[in-house]
Amino acid sequence: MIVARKVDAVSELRRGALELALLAYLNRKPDFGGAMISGLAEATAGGLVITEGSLYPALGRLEKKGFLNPEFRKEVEGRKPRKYYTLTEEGVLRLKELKAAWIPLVDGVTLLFGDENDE
Amino acid sequence: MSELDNYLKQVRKGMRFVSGFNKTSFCNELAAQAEYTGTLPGGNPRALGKAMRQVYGISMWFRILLITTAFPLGLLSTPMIVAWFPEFPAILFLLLTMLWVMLASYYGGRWSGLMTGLSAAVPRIIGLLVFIFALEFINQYFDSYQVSEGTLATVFLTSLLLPLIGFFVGGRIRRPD
Repeated sequence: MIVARKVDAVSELRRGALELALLAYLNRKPDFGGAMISGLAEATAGGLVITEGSLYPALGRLEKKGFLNPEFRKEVEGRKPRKYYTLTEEGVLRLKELKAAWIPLVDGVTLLFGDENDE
Repeated sequence: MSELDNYLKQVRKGMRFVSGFNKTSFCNELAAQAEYTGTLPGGNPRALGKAMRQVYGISMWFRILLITTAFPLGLLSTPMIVAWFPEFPAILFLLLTMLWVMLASYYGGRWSGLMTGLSAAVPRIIGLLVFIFALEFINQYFDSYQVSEGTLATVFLTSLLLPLIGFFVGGRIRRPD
């Protein structure tokens, strides 16, 4: 069914930050999808809680752009192989690029909130 | 069938027309997640499958099918080509062709839509050129065959419209998340 998508501002904000968050997270250590959902929530102290519906499409897009290198690893005998993602060189460069843009953006917007930060 | 199997079946349905390799690879990834967490992945499985279809795109075979089918549809929608059969509903085939191009654009994205539109436009443009430049030749075999300028202009404009529909419509249609 074709429907017009209702844009939720908070979802849009999260979606924009997700690419950077995933690249930053995977720059620390390679990981697989199942562990990333809880791993990201922990690493961001609950600031970035995501579901499969946003995680896997985002991973797929990053993989398609060549920023991630996927690899199936069979770690435990009798268990299904897990798809681990590691950052490629392009991924590392992309992370640097996004990080350089992100920090002044967040600092600048936070300044705009002014006294509201204290509330 | 286990709950996980049922979940993966719904994901596969959402990933309709995606290559079998990508479907299997993604379902294995979800199955590994379910094994690790001990719970089913969250969210609507069919919506997740659709979101992944947007990432992977449809399979090459399906793209080829969409593009090749557009050619005979375009042919049957060309009034001067099917004019030998006066009752032939060329306009109906034109509408079907437009729907087909939109379908290609929806499932395959802008470039598939453009290629499908071009494939449908080719027989129409050929028909047009034949009747502009070879009408005299045709009339040696068929009596007083004539096509009005209005018909020529309409065929030309609708032919141009097909690849444009393919390119622009797909990008405008949003699927539910």
